Amino acid sequence: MRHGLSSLRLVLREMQRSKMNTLLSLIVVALATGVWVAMLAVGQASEDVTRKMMKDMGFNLMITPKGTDPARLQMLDFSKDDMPEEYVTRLAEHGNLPAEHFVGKLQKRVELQGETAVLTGVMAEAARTGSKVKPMPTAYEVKPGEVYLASAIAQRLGMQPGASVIIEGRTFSVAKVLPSVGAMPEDIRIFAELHEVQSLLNRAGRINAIDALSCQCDVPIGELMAFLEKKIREVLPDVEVTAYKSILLARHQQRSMVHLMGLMTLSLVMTAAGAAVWGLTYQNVHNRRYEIGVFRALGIPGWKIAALFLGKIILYSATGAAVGCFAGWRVAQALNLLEGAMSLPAGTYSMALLATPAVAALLGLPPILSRLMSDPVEVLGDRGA
Amino acid sequence: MIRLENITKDYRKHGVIVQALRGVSFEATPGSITLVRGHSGSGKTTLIDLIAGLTRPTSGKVFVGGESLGEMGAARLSKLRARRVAVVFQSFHLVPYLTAMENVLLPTLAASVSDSGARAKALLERLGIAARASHYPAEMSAGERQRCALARALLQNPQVILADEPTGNLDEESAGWVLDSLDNCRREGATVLVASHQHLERIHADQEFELKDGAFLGP
Repeated sequence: MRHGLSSLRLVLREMQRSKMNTLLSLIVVALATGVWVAMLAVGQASEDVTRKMMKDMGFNLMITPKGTDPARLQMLDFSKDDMPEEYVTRLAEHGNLPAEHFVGKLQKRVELQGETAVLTGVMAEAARTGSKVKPMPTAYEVKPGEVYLASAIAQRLGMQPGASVIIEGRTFSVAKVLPSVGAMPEDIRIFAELHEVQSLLNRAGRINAIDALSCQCDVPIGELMAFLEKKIREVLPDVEVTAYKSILLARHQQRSMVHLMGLMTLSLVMTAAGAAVWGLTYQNVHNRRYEIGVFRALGIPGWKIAALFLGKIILYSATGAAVGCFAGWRVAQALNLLEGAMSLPAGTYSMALLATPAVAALLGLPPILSRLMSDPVEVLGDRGA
Repeated sequence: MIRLENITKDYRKHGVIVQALRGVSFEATPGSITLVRGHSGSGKTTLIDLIAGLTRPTSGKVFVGGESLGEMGAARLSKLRARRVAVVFQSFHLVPYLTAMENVLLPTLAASVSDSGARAKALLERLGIAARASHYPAEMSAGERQRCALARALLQNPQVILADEPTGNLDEESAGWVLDSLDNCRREGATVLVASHQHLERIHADQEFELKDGAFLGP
């Protein structure tokens, strides 16, 4: 110790002495950080599961030409109103819409062997240039000359893959029979390649619906539809936006609930941890009040005394944050919440490691300052007259 | 040099105003020892607190080294204590989790001291507790703790040393070590003020005051 006593040495010595206080403080910080990381993982896992589930459930938005009467669509009357096929590209390329997975469709009610079906020309799902988003499982890419039959119509026509079917005078080969969706008209659709259907129906370059999947928007549930409509109409003013509400709202509600629960749990844990850090710092400062008096009598400036206490807080909270991050990540892994080993963004961990000591220091500051502002003579008052 | 001009100090205790010092004036020159005697509650500690700049007088002026403490802010007072004024407490006030050597080096947190390690070691040797350098206060006797506290006070080579009942808790041998060291400091040019309830025969005070109920009875 040629150059005297270093602040770090003093802080470490004190931590060594007040083991219980240090250990408790470290545990509190580690717990709070661990819960925070685990909650983020739960939130992310919930988003991932919801996203996958919703994709499996299919599109939840339908964009149709302006003035389309939903009642007419229910009656499978697709005869009127269409829009340019190019609308799909415009939506996909916009890149800042609360919806994605755009699929253009041209539909027409047809009668085959006395059975009603909906001939549906579909294009490959349109994605933004360079986008790596996986297409929806219900977005079919049908080759020219082939059709996919929905389950009910395949059953009614008694057709299996490999069979031939004549639609509007043209022969198609049945490439696939799709599993039942349990909804009409989805189960009586005959999917074919869009351009082939356009040529068959004499409506080149035209479509009459665009399917889409709404994104997970941070909008109150009551305002969701209006928000989606407004955003889409900013790109395509002459369209109607119809939602498959039960699917859309269930998804939104589920997400809101996870958020709310996460927020409540996190608020509770953080408040408790904050109070504990404050209390433990208060206790530590109180126990060391004579020491503070001696430091001041020795001429150690107030800011340096505060730094000694803050140094301790930063040391244990940084260690606690690291332990908490690791523990939270392990818990998330053990519960299979994270697909990849580090699938929470690296920024989450960096933020926890930086923000935790900063917040802990802020919480610990009031008791330190209050003790520093007290009269040193009073603190040292047990010296006798 | 220390100069006090007509100092009064009142404080409030349990809602009652207590007059701790009443019109105290004196001057102590460098290279001298001033002994202030008085019973418990006579105002000795308040006097030391005022000279150390730990508290401010209700009226009157305190000068240390020719500078009025009343005109100094908290930062300058801290600097004064860090470099020029040292206090030795009756109850030692050593930091319990630091060894004797580390306690002696504590003032280096306030101001750097050239070759502080060697100086601390020399002080421990001079006070006869070199063998205790790596011991904690709890492992030392009262006399050793007081000598350690004195070594801490002397590390910065202060111009003013204020010792509050430095031998109050000590046996004769330890008290001898402490008083001889204070006498050495006087010989080296420091202004030493010792407050005690006892007659300290071993110390050759240049001036002696009797403090009673906050006022000097006379030299």
